[in-house]
Amino acid sequence: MTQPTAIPELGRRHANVARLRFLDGMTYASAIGGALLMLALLLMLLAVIAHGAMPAYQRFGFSFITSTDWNPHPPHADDMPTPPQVFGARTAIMGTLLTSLIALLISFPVSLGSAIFLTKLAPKLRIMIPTRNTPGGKRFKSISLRHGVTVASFMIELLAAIPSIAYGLWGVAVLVPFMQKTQPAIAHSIGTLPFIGQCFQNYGYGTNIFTAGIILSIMVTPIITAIIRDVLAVAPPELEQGALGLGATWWQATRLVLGFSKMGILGAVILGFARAIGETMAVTMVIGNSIDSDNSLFASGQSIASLLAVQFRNADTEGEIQALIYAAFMLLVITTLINGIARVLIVRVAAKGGKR
Amino acid sequence: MSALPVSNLPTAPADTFTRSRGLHNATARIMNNIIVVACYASALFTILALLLIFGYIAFRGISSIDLAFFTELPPHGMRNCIAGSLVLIALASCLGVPLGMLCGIYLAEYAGDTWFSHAIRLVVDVLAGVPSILVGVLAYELVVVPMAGGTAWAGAVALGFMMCPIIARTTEEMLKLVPHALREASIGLGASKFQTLFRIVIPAGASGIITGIMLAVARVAGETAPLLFTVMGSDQKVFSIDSTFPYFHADLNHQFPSLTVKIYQYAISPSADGIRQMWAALFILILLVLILNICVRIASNRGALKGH
Repeated sequence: MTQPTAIPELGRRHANVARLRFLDGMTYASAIGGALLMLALLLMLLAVIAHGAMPAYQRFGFSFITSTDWNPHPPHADDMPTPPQVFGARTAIMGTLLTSLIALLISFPVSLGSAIFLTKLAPKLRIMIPTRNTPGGKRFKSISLRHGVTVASFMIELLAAIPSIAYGLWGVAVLVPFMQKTQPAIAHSIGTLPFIGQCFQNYGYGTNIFTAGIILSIMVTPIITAIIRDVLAVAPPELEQGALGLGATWWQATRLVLGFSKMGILGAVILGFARAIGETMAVTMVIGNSIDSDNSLFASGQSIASLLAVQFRNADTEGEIQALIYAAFMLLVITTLINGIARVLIVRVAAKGGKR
Repeated sequence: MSALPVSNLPTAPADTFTRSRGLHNATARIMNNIIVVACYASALFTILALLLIFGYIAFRGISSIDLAFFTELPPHGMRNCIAGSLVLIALASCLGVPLGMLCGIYLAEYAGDTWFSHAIRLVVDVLAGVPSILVGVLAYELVVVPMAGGTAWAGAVALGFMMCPIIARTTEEMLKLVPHALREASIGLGASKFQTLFRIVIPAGASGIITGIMLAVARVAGETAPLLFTVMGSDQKVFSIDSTFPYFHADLNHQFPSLTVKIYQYAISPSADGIRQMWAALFILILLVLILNICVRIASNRGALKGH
């Protein structure tokens, strides 16, 4: 750390130096305080939610994960005592995982393609414009599409900036009616196949796990694309150049680059997954928010985040709030772990490629 | 660019790119073309998705916007919700901007290549990835439960927490862009670290820090999930004069109007006029977010901000 160089001790400056030393110390202290505060914030998040979840954990333990009953007001006859509340989040946990997996299955190839386009293909794009008055037989002028590529890259980033609720409402207005029309056809064709057919049965109103997965895939694509783009950009160009020099096709050369950055790409996918499992509003709008479990992608479901969004305000009993916070705690632990792993992977790859 | 450690590069088997497998191989060429087309298609698909979504919302929004939307209270307009959202964002900035900037200053100016600074960077990244609804649950436990009901404060705390990591990272990146020679010159002239930081480095990086703040505002402006059970929405005026305080003021101790919460409430309501206003509000919101993002992009001409 750089210390201020000793200022010549010229009588009148004495007090000034002491003041500056004090201010230096204060600046350092508050800066490191700000850094520690971030750590404190994360720990507080974990501690507060864990504390809120504790009563529900003690009551339900692991049956919370395996049970599908969500019953804050169990039915009972008037002359009988109120039975205990039952809470199980299996439907929500399954919904969270299924929607995120569908989202990744769709968005990973698209993101990888877009990222390769942005880093490897687009910078080389040229338009040949015919020019008349060139001496010496050169009739074409090559114009780089560099700025067009910057715009394309920016537009993909804008896709990440659109608020979650906008995706949700677009989904309700456009995607859900579309799904409603196409579902019967899919259910009658693929749905009749053995084994996998079951996943496409019991179609309903278009608000279902599959629709939520599609919305999520549109939402995480720009995030994964941006990270893969950055990861590919730091891969050493020698790899590609060497391969091309040896007579490889463009794709064979690019595959080497992909191989070099594969851990970073994995990190990007994991980060996209973390984003998908925590996404709330868009999923809430299109997943149908049904607490009943149904083993079909075309049936209404629930994710942990949508469960929180819908039930938290309506919860009128202490027990239900505790159960909801227990579900929130699971989501928090999963996203924190996943985010940490993904970031470490991405940082490692950036260090391996050499930052520039 | 530094010299690359050759040993880190993966080595291909000796026969990887011989004539039989490279440009002269028909299968390799066809594969090459398929992949190129697929890459073009996926980029096109992604951009098309943006245009489709934005186009649809703009179409529905423009056709349903009117003057009453800006001047009336619910159920005829959303005047109070727009004001409420602005108040919430301002309050959140009061919390998030200074805290985020302090952490960013630490990461850019004081943190070396130590395990501690790497840990803090990891923590900031993890915080940035925490689902917004969980920040809402935190604000619920910290503010709503003690204050026994939804308040503007709770929403501001939730949004402020969300701004912290974003501002910390952009501040760090922006301060790192300030040339090192400036710091050396300042220290060489006898300035202290404090003077260097506040008179030289931060003014030089100010435009970048401001774009970072805009980015964070754009991010929290559209947040709905953490507000659902913290501010809880309201149809009352934001600014009023009442018996408790005889001046023009906003009541922050009760349920508070917010644009995004109102959008959600209208979205799940059966009212046709509500749905119309919802599209108008969504259009205003998206326009705000997009304009902020485009401003950030224009301001950060060095492309250091990546939008996440």
